[in-house]
Amino acid sequence: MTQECKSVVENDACTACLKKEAVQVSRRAFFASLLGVCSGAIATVIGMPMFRYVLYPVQAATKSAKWTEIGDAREFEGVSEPVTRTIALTQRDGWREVVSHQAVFVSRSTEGHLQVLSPICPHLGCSVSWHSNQNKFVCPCHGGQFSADGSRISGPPPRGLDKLEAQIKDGKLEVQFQYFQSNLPDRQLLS
Amino acid sequence: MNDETVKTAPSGGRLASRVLDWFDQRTGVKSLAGKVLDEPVPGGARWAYVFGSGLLFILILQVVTGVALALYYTPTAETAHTSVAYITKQVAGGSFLRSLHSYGSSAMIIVLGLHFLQTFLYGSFKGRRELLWISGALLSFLILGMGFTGYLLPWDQKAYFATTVGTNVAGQVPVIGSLLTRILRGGDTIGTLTLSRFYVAHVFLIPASILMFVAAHILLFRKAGPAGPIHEDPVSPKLAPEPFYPRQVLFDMGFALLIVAALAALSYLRPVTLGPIANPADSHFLPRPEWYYLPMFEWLKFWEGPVVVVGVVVIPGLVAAALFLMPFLDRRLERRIWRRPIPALAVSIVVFGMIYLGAKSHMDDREGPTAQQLTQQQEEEKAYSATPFEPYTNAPETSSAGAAIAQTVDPLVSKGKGIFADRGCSACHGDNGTGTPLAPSLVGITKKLPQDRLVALLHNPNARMKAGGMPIVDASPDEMTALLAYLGTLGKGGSNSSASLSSSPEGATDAQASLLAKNVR
Repeated sequence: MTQECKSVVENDACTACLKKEAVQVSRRAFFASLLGVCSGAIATVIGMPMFRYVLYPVQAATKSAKWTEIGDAREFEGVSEPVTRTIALTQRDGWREVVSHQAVFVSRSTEGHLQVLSPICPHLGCSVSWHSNQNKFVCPCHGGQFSADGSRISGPPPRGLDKLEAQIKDGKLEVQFQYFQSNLPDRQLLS
Repeated sequence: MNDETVKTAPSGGRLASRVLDWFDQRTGVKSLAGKVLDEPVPGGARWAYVFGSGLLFILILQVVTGVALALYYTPTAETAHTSVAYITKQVAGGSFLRSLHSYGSSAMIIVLGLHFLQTFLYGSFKGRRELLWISGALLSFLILGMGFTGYLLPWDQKAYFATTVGTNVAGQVPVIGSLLTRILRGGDTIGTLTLSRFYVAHVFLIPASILMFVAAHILLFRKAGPAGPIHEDPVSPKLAPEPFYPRQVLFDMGFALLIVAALAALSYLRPVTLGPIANPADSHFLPRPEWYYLPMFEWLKFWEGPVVVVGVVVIPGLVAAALFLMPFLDRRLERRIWRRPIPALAVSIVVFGMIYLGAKSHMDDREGPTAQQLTQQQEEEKAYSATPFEPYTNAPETSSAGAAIAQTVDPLVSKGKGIFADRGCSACHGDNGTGTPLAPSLVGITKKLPQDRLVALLHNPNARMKAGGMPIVDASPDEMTALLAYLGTLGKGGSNSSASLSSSPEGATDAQASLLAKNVR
């Protein structure tokens, strides 16, 4: 900086005075940047954990779902038409655990495999029910109809009933209850 | 000088300085900053003067970490402990921030002590600084109040029992003692109302007062100016002044760095623990207050019987009064401590007395069965802190009892309930017809509308209902009668509602409602 002054100004006295000023300015700038660095250090020590702390629920929400037991697998061996089962769904809501009850349908796919269907209509989210006399699922809200294997027959729903991940473990039928985006032609997980 | 630089700055000057100028022209922020930073410090900057701004720094730290804690904390006896456990064991950075807040309160007391000693020993309160001193004394008590109220909030064993003892102390005050205790507790015992009170005091009332008095303290300080070194005339200083910025600011910053480094290291290496949830039935628990209350705790042990009022009220009251009135008691302009023997002696007695009492309390607790019990409590606290987080669960289910009751319900009503469920009414109106964001509550609907109007609306919903997604309810007259019978029972207590509660606890409705709300969007 002082170099520049010299090249611009020829007068010796002025050079000295400029030099002095430049030293003062650089001293001030040094103090200011020192304070800035210190403040930055403090803000980092407090700010970083704070950032993670505030955003914790956002990243924790994407953890994988848990399996919920529906019942004994043998119970469903003879299932020919869909049966309703109420499952106790344990959901984490921050620091509390909420047990909610949710209905699911256990039915057979066209190939004859056991499958678990969500009762939530893929149209606008009403609960469909099984009408055995008509041999189909009917949504009470807007009349969507689905066959016993969950595929769409008629009405406004853009897709069939959503199949839930299911498994048989230690002789128990288990399901991963999940919610899906409504009113889309393909099944998309709601997270 | 600032103005000159503004004028001589090239027209296309840096964006930052132009923005700053824009603000300055409208707010005068530069001259304000100048006033703040150019405050003259008689005799120059010194490390001895860092304690006041150190306190201000810790205060800001406590506010920041306190607000962070409030993000997850809930002040009810049922859930407080779980929410603190959640912060400590689950949330990223939670243990660190809670430890910072907890250790920060201790740091506050330590630096407060240093600030007091510095101003007292230097006689810096002399020379038209009475109000400055009194506002500081008030702030000291407010800070102690923060420590006392904050201690209960985690609602663990030590919090509960220490507050039991603490609020009992207030009961020793003659005449109004028991009333005072009941006011503090919000009743006879410590419970969820006590927690609410302490929370409101800790988060709203005391912080608001602290901010107010800190503002007053700083304002009064700027009015009187720094008193300077011990030989300086406190009214009209003679020593050459040095501006507050940069050297004193750097000293203050150095102290702040030291505080943060110490607190962060401590919080990281030895995070504060959380004990098991408060159990009022535990008759073995030995309560101990936070270390800075130990002298008071020990002091109260000395006083028994009729003289207790002397120990609890008279002597602490006199000490507090002497503290507040210090500038009026030690009123000569003489600042040198060796020329002020009486105040020096009085303060020494109190300070060393407190150190002695605190040390004695600490030593007493290291012997015999008390030590064993305290060690055990500490072990339990450590063990509890090490266990994984257990979420809070709703009250145990009563499904079997509920189902039994459901069977005794009027068959017409249960038929109606079946229709309500089958037709998906509950999907929008909620499980007990209590309403969701999608559709209004149906509780009391049979009273609001005559039956024929209601039937008509169900057969042929109006435009607004249709717009909200209400379908035509195509039911036979029998079914309609049953449905109306069920609608009539909505919101009523007794067997029916408890039966429906058990089949779908609140959580289900919440989850569905939020899901539906999402689906509709």
